[in-house]
Amino acid sequence: MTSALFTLILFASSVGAGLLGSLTGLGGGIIITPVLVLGFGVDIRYAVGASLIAVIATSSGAAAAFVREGFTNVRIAMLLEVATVAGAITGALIATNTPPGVILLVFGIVLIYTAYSSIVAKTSKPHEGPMDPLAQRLKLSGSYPLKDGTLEAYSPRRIPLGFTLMYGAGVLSALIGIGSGVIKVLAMDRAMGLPFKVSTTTSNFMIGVTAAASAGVYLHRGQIDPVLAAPVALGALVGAFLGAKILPGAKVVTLRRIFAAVVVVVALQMIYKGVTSW
Amino acid sequence: MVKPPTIELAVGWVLRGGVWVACTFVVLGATAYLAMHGGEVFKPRHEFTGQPSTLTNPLSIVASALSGEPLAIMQLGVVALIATPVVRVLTSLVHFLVERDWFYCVVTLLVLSMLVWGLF
Repeated sequence: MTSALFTLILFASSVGAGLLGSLTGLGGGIIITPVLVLGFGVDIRYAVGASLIAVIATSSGAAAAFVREGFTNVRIAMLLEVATVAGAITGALIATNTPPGVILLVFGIVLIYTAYSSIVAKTSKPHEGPMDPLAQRLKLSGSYPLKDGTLEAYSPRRIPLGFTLMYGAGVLSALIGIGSGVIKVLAMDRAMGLPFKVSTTTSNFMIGVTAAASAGVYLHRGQIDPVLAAPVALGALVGAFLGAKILPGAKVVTLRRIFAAVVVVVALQMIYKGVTSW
Repeated sequence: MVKPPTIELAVGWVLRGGVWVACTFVVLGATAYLAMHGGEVFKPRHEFTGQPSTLTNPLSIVASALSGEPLAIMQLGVVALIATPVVRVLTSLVHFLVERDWFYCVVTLLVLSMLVWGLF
């Protein structure tokens, strides 16, 4: 096919990825890497590079809208970013020594886990009771607007656990070209007891930074091909903007169910590809 | 503690601005590229061969873009995109400085230095 046609299809796929990723708060990277590898036969290393760029685009596009709404907690994000960025750089550095087949395999497993947690996840109730002393010392509590406009206060707990999970999220993000939104949201929602909408928006906020950390390393390694990265990033951006507009009224549970179904199919294919490449 | 909205607004601003700048480069470069190569058969990167050094080093990318190479212009947009979260962290640093929140200044500097290290 011609460059022009390829670019167009790539762009369109990325719009879909960006939309879905932004609506579910899980990031478009998890869709784009498989699309590139399975759909277009791109080498995983280029796919990861392009996908990370799209992840940054998605994150920056959506975060801009959410931040205005007042859901994101900048301090929590910044603190946890120390962990994710460290993880991302670690991941990017070990990625060169990792055979592509392994990366594909890891991806497939992460996808299945994503699907599983998408369906099973019930939002935990925000923690009632005294504030975690560490949270207090680090000034991590905040409040967010409810639908009726009143402010609801919250405060995170189990911060060291959250930190560790974020490090892992960073490593994964670099390795397979995703934003690790799943892990981030889970860490904040379950481990740290933050309200769901705060978790998802703060996660979106952090995803871009995590991706930028490893993207920088990959740029140097020559893994970012502008011919791939450009349409993918633009498409994801368009999709993310659309998603941010729709989100306030969207039913996250239904979205996640659809997402989970698609993801399982893709995961199996990725695993298959990873295993057969050995 | 209710957060004042200013930092959030500034951050949103930075992100959107950066994204627009990046997109401009990408679209410009892509248009030029497609105009020149759009009809060619596309080889979908089945193998990893790495990118030429004009496309991997931020400084070389700028130089190459200035000389009008479409791929470099697109890559410049990509670099601008990568830079967006970095600038966002920078904005947060300024905010914490203004608020005299020294602990978070340090935290932010830590994140910033790691990011910059990776990029260069």
